[in-house]
Amino acid sequence: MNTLTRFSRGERFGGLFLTILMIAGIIASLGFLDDGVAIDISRRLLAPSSAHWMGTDALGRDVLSLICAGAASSLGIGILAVLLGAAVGIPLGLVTAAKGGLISEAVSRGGDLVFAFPSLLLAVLLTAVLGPGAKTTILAIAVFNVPVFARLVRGQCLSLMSRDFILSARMSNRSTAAIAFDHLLPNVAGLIVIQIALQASLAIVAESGLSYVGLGVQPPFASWGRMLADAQSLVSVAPWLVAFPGSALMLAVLSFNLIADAVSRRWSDRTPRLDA
Amino acid sequence: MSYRIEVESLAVEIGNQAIVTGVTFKAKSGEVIGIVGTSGSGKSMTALALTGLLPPGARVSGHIRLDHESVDTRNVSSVRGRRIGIVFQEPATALNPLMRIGDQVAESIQLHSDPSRAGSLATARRLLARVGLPEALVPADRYPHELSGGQRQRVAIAIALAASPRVLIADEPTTALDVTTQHQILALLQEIAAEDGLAVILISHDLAIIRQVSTQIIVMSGGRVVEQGLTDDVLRQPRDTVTRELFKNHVPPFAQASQAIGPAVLQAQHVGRVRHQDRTSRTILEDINLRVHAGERVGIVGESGSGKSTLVRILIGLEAPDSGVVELGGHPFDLSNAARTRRQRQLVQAVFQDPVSSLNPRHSIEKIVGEPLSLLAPVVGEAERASRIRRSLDQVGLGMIRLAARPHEFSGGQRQRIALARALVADPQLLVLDEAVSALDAVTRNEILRLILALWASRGRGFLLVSHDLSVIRSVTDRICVLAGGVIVEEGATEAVLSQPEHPYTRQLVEATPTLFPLGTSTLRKDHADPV
Amino acid sequence: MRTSLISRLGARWLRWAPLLVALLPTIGFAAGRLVVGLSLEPPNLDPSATSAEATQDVVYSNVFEGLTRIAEDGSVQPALADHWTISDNGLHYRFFLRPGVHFHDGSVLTAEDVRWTLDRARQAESVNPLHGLLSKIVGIRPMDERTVDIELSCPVADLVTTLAWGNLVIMSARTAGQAKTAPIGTGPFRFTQWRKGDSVVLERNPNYWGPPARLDQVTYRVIPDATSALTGLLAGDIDAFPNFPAPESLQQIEKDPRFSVVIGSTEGETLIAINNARAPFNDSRVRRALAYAIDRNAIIQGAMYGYGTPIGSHLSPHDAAYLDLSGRYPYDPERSRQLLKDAGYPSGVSVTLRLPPPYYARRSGEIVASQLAAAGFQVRIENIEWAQWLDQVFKRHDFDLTIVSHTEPKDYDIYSRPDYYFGYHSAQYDQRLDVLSRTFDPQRRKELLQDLQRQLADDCVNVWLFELPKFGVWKKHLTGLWTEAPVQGVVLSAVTWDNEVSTAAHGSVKATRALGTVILVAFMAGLFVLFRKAGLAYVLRRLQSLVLTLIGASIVVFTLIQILPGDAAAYMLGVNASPEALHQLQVEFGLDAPLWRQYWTWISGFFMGDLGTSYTYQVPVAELIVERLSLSAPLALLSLLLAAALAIPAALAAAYRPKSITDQVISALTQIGLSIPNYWLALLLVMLFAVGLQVLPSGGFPGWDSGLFHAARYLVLPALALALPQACVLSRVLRAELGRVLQEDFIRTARAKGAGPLRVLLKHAFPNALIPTLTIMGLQFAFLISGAVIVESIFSLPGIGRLLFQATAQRDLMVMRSVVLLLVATVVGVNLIVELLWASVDPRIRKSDPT
Repeated sequence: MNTLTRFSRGERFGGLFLTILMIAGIIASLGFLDDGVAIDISRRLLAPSSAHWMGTDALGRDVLSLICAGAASSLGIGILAVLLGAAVGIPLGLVTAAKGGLISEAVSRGGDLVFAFPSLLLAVLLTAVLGPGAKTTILAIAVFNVPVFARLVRGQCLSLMSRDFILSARMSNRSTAAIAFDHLLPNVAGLIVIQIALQASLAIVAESGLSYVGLGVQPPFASWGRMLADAQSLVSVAPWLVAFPGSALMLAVLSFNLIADAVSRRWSDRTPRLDA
Repeated sequence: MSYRIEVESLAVEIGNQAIVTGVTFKAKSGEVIGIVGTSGSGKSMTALALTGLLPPGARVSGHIRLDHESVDTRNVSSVRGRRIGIVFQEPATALNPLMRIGDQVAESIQLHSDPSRAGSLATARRLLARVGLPEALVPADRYPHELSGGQRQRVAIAIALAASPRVLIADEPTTALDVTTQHQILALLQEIAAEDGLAVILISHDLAIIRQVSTQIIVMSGGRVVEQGLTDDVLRQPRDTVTRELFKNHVPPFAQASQAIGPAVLQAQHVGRVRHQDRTSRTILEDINLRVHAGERVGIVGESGSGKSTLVRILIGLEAPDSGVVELGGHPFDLSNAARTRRQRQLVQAVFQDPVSSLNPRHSIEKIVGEPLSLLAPVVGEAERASRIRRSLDQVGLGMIRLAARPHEFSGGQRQRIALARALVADPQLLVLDEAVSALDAVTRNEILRLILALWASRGRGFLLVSHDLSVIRSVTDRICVLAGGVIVEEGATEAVLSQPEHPYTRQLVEATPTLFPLGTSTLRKDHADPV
Repeated sequence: MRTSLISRLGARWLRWAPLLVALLPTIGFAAGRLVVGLSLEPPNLDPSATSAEATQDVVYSNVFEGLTRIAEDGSVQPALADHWTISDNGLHYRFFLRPGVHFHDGSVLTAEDVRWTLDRARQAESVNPLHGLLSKIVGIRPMDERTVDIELSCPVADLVTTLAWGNLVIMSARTAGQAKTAPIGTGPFRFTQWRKGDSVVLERNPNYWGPPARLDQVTYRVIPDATSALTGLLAGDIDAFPNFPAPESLQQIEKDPRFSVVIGSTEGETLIAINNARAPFNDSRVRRALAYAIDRNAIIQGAMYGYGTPIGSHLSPHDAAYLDLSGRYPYDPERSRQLLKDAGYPSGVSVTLRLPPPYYARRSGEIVASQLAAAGFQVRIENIEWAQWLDQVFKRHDFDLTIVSHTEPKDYDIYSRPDYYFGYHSAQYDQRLDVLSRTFDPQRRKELLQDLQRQLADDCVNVWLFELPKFGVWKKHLTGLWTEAPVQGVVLSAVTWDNEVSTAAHGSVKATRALGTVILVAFMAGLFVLFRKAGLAYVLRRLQSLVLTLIGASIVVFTLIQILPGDAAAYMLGVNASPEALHQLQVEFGLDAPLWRQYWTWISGFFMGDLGTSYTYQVPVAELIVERLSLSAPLALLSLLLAAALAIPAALAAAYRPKSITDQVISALTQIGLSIPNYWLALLLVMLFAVGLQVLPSGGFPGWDSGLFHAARYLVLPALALALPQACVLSRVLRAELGRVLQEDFIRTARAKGAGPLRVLLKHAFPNALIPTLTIMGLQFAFLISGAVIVESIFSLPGIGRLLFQATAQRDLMVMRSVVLLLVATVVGVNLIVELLWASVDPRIRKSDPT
């Protein structure tokens, strides 16, 4: 109880909802919901009831089970894509900030270039090249995340580089890599966490959007975006098909945003201002 | 006699905590009243209370009368700007960066007396000329970033004067400025008080400034007035311990001349540096020749923009000069020679100005202090490392602290001690102090200086102290270099240079430095300072 | 208290609602106007050059006519030829043309036109999809102005039927070249306009030789999205959908008294095609195992909502020779497993199921996959675009299974084509087919056809699923549309309204043009002022990095598009293109040149404004882009302005009293708002305003020429859907920035002057908080112009995002690369403008580099 009350309302809501989704996703991927996810024409388009809490879809699949299975795709792809982007972008940002020079210039130009491509478009093109599917989706979203993290980290680290403790470290003959990872990284870790949460919320919207236009996760894997796309033409017959996946998507995005918000509030409370 | 402002039993409470109590004073027209105290003494809160700019939730009580007219203390904001003007410390950030200076002054006029744009702008131009920014020199359509710090502070004063107030409050108005600029701004304040018939309330931590310009002095500590009276009386016979402490610490500790001076450790020959920007190049440093011997204490004095930060970076091998050579330990810096660079780095360590930025906020004290140990060869073991870190912290008087603590748990003075412990740990021959005590209050400054003198002077190790503060340089160094515009304009034994300055710049610097006592009377200095 | 306040406010607003509605001009149709929905856009309008059904839907029997035509009951009727004779040996046909037939350009139809049309179709490099069926023709001779002879090498029983099909309509040598974009035929309607990505418009041909068409004007609206099709219909924007793409909605439409739902049949045998040439499917036991694993009725129920006749071989049920073989392999997963075991696959077989985009394929595919999985197959689904399907499946035969509908009538000859994608070869089948083509006796033909059907089912070449139904949905008052679809096409000559409907009110074109010009001039002037203000040196420095980024981007784009799988030329020419025709097309588009030259041609053209010609639309790419931008740019601008108009007051109100109730409420609302995906919001807005309240159109865009206010109404909902989430982002950024600026020293200075809180906020804090806000707005504008793909497709808007999306699906390289580069240029250009705006707001940036 004590530890729980330390969290803000936003964090508690966001954390709880994401945990539920993750557990649901794991349960679904372990196969516990296979019966609900299976196609069964005899039970199609049933309204929400005690047997099917969120009703069934046009192929007789249980919407709640599909949402759980979709959570695995949405969260899995969203988080993986962002982490992949961060894993490449953070070291790039760190090293270019600590090292400077031509490489730094090239990397930031490359970032500019990626930024110049509208993100959704980039994903569409990549999917066209690589063929649709979860891996492509992760890659397409990750590519756009690389410069996001590289730029964030580089910008923050450049301002840190002028600070006196970096001079002291250099006086101690620390290598560029040591300065980057030992001195710079811990100082931008909080911002990175915030950015990861924000990017994750963007990534799950991107994933659902790609699935919506048919370029994301492919059947038989469930995806909220595709559920919405499938449900669209049934909206007046079976409004629950639009309402539930849409709400799940919205709440997941909201959760990530709330967590990002709360972390950034903590971060700014606890740490002396970087520009102090 | 008519008083411009009368304050009686002014008190400020935030929550249930009394921040300021019992401030009472009166000021006549043309009079400058000084409020002095260390940080946290309540002097700035008093200023904010007088202008109604206190943070939300603060309550003000007591009586304020302006020209014998009572002002509602709970609604001081009604007189703000119109009858009380205020000038703050930081000229760099006090002006709206997106507005022309003329408009910023005119805004105040439009708010209170003349709503027409043309009329208020004309008045604003007159006011700017009044504070020393004539249209011909500094046009009113300039933006703040195009002005120097002193000029910006003049604009701030013009803004404060725009609505012809009865009272001008200046809260540390010169702390962020160079000595020479400080001199001019203080003169301007005195002049305004005298000619425009205002009462000026000058708030400062610096006793010498107060002494220079104010007729009355109020000494504050812990939110209370501890002593108050005519400046001359109070300073001649300080009664309260706080006043006496302030008085005593005003002068830095005095050090005897170094005895055993060894061979040159650091040597700079014909060092020059040019900065290229937008196809124009500006000379930052030109033909700098400098030498620091083992056991010698050398000072470099210069105002902002004189190139002293760049020089420090070049001297400690963090930046390469465009011309000339820097030799450390008998060899020129050569970053490609890793082994030699490592040995050279072991010879010199530095302590920087800002206690906040010089310690990595994410590292433990142990890690911070132990960092230079990586320079030592052979590599020190765990036990050796721990004992060296402890010893080093012991030496700076922090023997009892937790090694796992983080920098934010310490005060500014303690952090500077930690930085000093870090500089000590690998036992370098030369310590470079880049404005290392400038950001500290007088008491802390003197503690740190004593520590530095004790640790260095006694062991035949030397230091290079870079500062804009002549009094610090004067009291702890043997030799002085005066840096102006990237050139060393004068060099020699400290005492000799400062008592008989030859270069006009040095002379100007010496004259502008405020002091409680006339300069050049070394006997007085020794009377009042603690010899080490 | 609070609720009553809200309800009072609500009541006040509601009183205005009817007035607002009355002010919005009502849209309706003149008596002679019809709007027809199409789910696919025609790639071009030349029926002799494409096998696309959408092209036939527009032009067949409406714009172009053949010598003969097929009636609704499937019978062959005279058309341009009013009668014909056949020689006794069946080798000579003589067609007599109708007198007084004129092309739309006024020229008279002659026998020479017929010869030219048919000769062009049968020559070696012909791109005509029916090219192969004309191989038995040895000569075509005009005998006089209105008589033409056709000589065959051997009898062809169904020549008269073949000549009735849409690909063999008669064109004139003078105007055939422009048929792709502006077709000129002899039909009851003539072509007037094609707004790419949105609509094709036809109008009545007053000089038609036969009974004149009853409609004055027909607009084919392209609505690829099933939901938009439904909402468009419900909102009243669409009068008729001859082929409605969403069977699941039929029940709902049937209940609506405004509409008729007419279910007919097509020639579309929908089947699981099996790659007979590839192991393990070359083993008939494995193919049978597939057949036993499939439960047709579940598929028809699940994917088609019960519509569709189960079939067991390759002939449509309404054919006289049809044989019901759907019970040949009853659903029996156990038997399926056993067959697999017998064939040597006891642990099952891994198969990939490649699905093209049509709804029947994608939906059936999911069910097929689950049924196959139940019988021991390991199925992987791959959804692919048409271009990829044509390239991988149809051309390169790289597939295991696929689902597709074969809509050509009587196309049983495909099973004897040597290189057809089924990979099926049977000497017996070829021989039977040969006999059939020489047989004229109806009874004998029927027997032969039934033999063919039986053989296909026995060999289990494919798994036939169902005959694709035709879902006709149209307004009750409309008559004359066909129920059945014995041939590709939407025949409109007899269609008419049986009541009068009000006429639409349109604004002035002049006003639109004038406003457009004013906006453009204002933009240029603003840009000039910004340039002046920022200083030449600053602008040049920025321009330099802009050009570098563009060069980098162009290389990336060019490379990326070069490595795209899928052959554009093959897609464009359709499935039956000859290698000669493909090569000719590649030469035409310069695809045979070395890469560096292709790049250079493109880039140099890009700067000259010449972007090449679109493969699919056959018009200059520049023209396409300008057309699309005339929608996307105003939409993005409108959304951005809307977002700013909502966000700025909200942020200011929140910052006015930090931590007040207002601040907290705005913070919570924006937090929720920015979590709502814009396409979900779009969906909800359509349901509320278009379908529910019916105050705004559900989608589509009539073009600015239809009047400024009229056109702008179509942008209201899309702009709202795009703007709301952006407004939330913007509001939060601005609020946070205001909070930061309010802590600054100069704010204290301003307060010390005696400035009130409102003045401090507006005059001092707001301008200083503007820079990050401008940055975000720049990013948003770039996003709004390119990232609105989904919202554009929900609202069926022909925007630049959808152009790119379609071009990617169709492998239209010319369009793709230029649009991508243009979008990159937009992003970079917007960034430049943002930086110039910074510089104009902040004097510090003007003097030195912002970095």
